[in-house]
Amino acid sequence: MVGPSASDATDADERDLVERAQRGDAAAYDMLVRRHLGRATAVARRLLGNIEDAEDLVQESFVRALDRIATFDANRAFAPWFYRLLINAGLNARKARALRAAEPEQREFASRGASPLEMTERQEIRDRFAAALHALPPRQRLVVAMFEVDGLSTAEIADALGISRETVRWHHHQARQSLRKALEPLWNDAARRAKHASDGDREVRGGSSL
Amino acid sequence: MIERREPSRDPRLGRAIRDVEGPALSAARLELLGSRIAAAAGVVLDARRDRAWWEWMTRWARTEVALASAAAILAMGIGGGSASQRGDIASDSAAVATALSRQSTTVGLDSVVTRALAAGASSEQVMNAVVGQPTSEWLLTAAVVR
Repeated sequence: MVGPSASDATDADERDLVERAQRGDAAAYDMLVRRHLGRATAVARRLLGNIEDAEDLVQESFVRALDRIATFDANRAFAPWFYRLLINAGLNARKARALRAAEPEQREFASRGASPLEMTERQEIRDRFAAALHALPPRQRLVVAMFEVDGLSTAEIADALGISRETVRWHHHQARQSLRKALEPLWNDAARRAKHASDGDREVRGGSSL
Repeated sequence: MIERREPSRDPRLGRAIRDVEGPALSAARLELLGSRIAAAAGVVLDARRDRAWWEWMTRWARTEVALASAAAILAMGIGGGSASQRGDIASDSAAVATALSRQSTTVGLDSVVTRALAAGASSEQVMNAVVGQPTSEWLLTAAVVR
């Protein structure tokens, strides 16, 4: 016989937290919030482009969820319901609110052993990738990031966005095509360098055997 | 039904996206945000508690008035005393009834209540009329028939 899985236990635990929150238990709701806070903030940041707006959105969404929690069926998973609320609010906020100017954060990319010329080239490719990512429609960007970065399944993403799994797959496919095209030069460059390094090793080994 | 396979994940793409998105929020910043949300949630829950109390009060207010009126009517009926004393109690009840039900009528309400009870109206019906049941036509009808 198969015993209850860790996931079942987590679900039961979450259901208990939701039911307690529905009865007005602040501590239970706080636990529920902290359980989803990290991922919710990542999703909000993806939608709005800067940390401050993302934090405001997450706070508003958790408060709104608490306001509506009495109508939520505790037998269902909390996350998809909450993410749908968060994402809808985020998409509306994008349209309605003048966002604080999101300065693209300049990040130092790993460039060990690269010459200044190589570093410049890589920076260009990364800028191109960042531009391609930001050029994606918001839902498409969310889908690809939730799948590739957060590790959510297509079913979970479909639930959170309120769309079908087929639509999620389609968005994912489209986004991946665009992004791969932008990243291709970087990957080709990395592959070329790896080949050079392995050729060099072979030469050294060949030379030493003589 | 044929279940389509889940697409495979591309770790290089994941890393590149993460690279553009920047590092995740620090634990300290998340903690601060969690506290902000807890404070805001506390306000919502307090407001809900206040609202629940007020709704409870409103719901029970009508019943409480009804019970008070019933007590007055019972006192009038079984409390003994002279006919004139009973008349006084009935008169008080009628005054309350007049104010609450906003019935302007040429018939004295003290006698209306007494007559209604004598006519076989249930005490619940009388209470409903005294505390302002939306329609209290039955009471007038009962009085007129009498």
